[in-house]
Amino acid sequence: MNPFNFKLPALVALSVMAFTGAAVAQEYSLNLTDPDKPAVIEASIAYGAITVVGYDGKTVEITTDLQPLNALKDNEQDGVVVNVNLGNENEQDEHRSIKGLKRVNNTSVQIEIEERNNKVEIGSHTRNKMVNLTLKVPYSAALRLSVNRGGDIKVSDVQGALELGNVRGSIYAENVSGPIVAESNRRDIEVSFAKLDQSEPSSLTSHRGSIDVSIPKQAKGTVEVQTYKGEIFSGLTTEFVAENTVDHKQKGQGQEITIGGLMAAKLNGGGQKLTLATFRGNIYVREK
Amino acid sequence: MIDENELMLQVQNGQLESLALLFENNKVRLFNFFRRMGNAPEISEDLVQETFMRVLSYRSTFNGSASFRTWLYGIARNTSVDHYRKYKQSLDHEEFDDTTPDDKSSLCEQMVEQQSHSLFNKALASIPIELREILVLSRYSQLKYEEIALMVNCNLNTLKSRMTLAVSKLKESYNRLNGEELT
Amino acid sequence: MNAQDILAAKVAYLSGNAQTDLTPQMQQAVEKDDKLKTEIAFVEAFWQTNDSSAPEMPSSKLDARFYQMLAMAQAAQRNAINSDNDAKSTDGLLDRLKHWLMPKPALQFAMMAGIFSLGYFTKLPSGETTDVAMNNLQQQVQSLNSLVALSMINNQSASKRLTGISYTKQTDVSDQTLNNALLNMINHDKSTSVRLAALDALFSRGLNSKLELDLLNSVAEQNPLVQIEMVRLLIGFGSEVAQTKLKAAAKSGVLDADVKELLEQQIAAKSQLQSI
Repeated sequence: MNPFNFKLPALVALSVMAFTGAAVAQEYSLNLTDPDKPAVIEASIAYGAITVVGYDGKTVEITTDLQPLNALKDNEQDGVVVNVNLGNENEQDEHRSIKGLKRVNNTSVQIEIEERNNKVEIGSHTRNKMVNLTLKVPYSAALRLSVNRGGDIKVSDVQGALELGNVRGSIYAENVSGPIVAESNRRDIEVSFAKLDQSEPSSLTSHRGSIDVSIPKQAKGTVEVQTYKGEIFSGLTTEFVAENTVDHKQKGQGQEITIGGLMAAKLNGGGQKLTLATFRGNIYVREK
Repeated sequence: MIDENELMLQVQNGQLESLALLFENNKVRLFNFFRRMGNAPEISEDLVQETFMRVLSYRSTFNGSASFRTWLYGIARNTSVDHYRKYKQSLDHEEFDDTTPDDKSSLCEQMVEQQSHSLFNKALASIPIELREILVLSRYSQLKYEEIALMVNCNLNTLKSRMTLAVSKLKESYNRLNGEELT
Repeated sequence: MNAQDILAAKVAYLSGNAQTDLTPQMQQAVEKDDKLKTEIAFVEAFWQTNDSSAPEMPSSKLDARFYQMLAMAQAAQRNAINSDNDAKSTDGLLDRLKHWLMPKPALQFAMMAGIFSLGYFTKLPSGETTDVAMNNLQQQVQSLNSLVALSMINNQSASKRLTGISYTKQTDVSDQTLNNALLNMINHDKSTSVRLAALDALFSRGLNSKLELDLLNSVAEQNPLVQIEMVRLLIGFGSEVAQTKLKAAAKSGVLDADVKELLEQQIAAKSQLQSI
C-alpha cells in the first residue's frame, strides 16, 4: 500500500480494484485547499460502513477497504433480509439460461472523491462490494455521512457539526462537541458528548432503534425527549418535566392529551436544545 | 443601458453593492406600482423595502431565464398579496394626489388631462384587485402578457379575456365617477 | 369576429402585445357599433393619456431604510468572509445576521444602536420622533428575523435548518412565506428531526384552514414518526374537520398500524375529556 498525496482542483474518480473473495484496502492522503480552515466532509456509501476519527493533522486520510458481499451478510445481524446475490434481483433473470456461459466477477468498484474549497465529497454507490471507509480528519472538520446498508457509522474526536444518517445500521459518536443531527431507521444511536454545542440545536431520531446519550455533568442545555412506544431512562440530576409543545394554543381541555407528549430537562439552567425522538426504541440519557 | 440581469447575477455572487443600482433603477416604478394598487404612500414604501429584502433573501433563485424586471415584479406581487392578506380588514384606498402639471402643454390641456388622469386612477382603485393588478402591470409597469400570465399563473388566453374584462370594468367605474363629478 | 375580440385586439396593440393595430375590417365593425366605438375610445384614452401625475416620488425615508438594510447585509457579509469557515462564504451572509438579531437582548440592543447610527449616516429625515423611529426599526428587525429564518431554513446543514425553524418563532405568525416554507419542510426535508421541528413550529404559529388541509393531505405519505406527531397535534389543536378527516383516514387504512392505534387512543382520550 503506497499512500500518495494529491491536490484536486475538481473531481477525481478513483477506480479501486478488488480481488474476488479477499478484502482489499487502499489509502489516500488528501490535501485541503486551505489547511488552516475547517473542512466539510461528505461521504455517502450505498453498501458499507464509515468510521471517522479526528486527529491533530491538516490532511484527510482516506482508507477504503472492500469486502465481498458474504461479509455484508455477517455484518447485518438483526435478521434483516439481505439480497446477497444481487445479480438475481430481477426475477426474470432467474429464468434465463446460463448454460455455456462463464460467470465474470465484477471486480471494479467506483469510489468518487472530490475536493473543492475544503469540501471533500466521497461517494460510492456500488452494489457488488461492501465498502468500508475509514477517514482521519482534522478535529475541526464538519461531517455529513450517510450509509444505506451494510454497517455502522462511527465517529470519534470530531468538533465540527455532524449530520449522520444510517438506514439499516447503528450510529456511534464519541467525544464529539459540534451540533449533531442524526437519524437511524432500524438500529441504535449512541452519542457521548464532550460538550453540548450552544450555537445550534442538536437532534437525534431513531425510528425502530434506541437512543443512548451521555452528557457531561457541567454541560448547559435543554434536553427534550419524545417516544411513542419506547421508555425513557434518565440518569440526570435534573428531572424531566412534561412540556406542552403548543402552549400558547391551548384550547379548552385539548392540552390534557399527553400521549406522545414532550418531556424536557434543563441542564445547568438550560441552553441550546438537544432533542431525542424515537418511535419504538427506548431513550437513555446519562450523565458523565 | 444597465443590464439588470447582469447586476442581479452580481448580487447573487456576493457583490451586494449592485443591489443599490437595481434599487435606484426600479424604486420609483415599483413605488408607483404599489401606489396604483391602492396603497397609501407609507405602505407603498414599506412594500418596496420588503420587496428588496426578498430580492436579497431569494437571490439564489434568480436564474436569468426570465428578465430581472419580470422576476422583481413577481416578488413585488407576492409581497403585495401577502400584505393584502395580512391587512385586508383595514384596507383603505388612498386618493391620488394631483401633482405639478407638465409645463409643455397649455394650461387648459393640462387641466383636462389631469382631471381625466385623476379619474382613471380613482376608477382603477375601485375595480377588483385581480383586475386592477393586471391593468397596472400592463399599462404602467409595461410588462408583456406572457410575463403577466406567468406571474398570475394563468394561460395567455385567460389573461387576454381578463384584460378585456378589466377594461370594461374600468370603463363602467370611470363613467360612474365621471357622472358623479359632473353632478 | 365579435366586439370582445376587437376590443382585446385593441388592448393588445395599445399595451405593446401586438405589432399591428385593428385591421380595416375590424375598423369598419367598430364604426358600425356605437357601444364598441366608445369602448375603443376609452381604452385609447386610458393607454394614451399622458401620465402627468407620474411618477410620484417616494420619500427620502425609503432610501434611508434601503441603505440601512444594505449596509447591514454588507457588514454581515464582511463578517462572514472574515470568520466564516465554510468555503462558500457568501452563503453564510444571512447566517451571520442571526448573531446580531437573535440570541441575546444585549445584542439586539447593540444592533438597534447600530441601526440608529447608520440612520444618522443616511440622514433620517429630521422631525421623526424617537418612538416612530424605534417602531420602524423594530418592524425592520422583525422583517430581518423573517429574512434570517428563511435564509437558514434553506441551508444545506440540518442543524442550521433547525436553527432557522427556531427563529420562525420570533417572526410574524401571519407571514405566509414562512408558513409555506415550514409546510414544504414538513413534506420534503430529508431529515425527520427537521420535519418534526417544522411541524411543531407551524402549529405554534397557528394553522389556517388551508395549511391544515395541506397537512391532512400529506399525512399518509409521511414516515410513522412524523405521522404520529401530525396526528397528535391535529387531534389536540386542529379543527373539528381535521379530526373527522383523521378518523376517516384511520378507517381507510392509509395510516401506519401503530399510528392508527395511537390515533384511536387519542380520539378516545379526547372524547372522554370532552364528556367530563
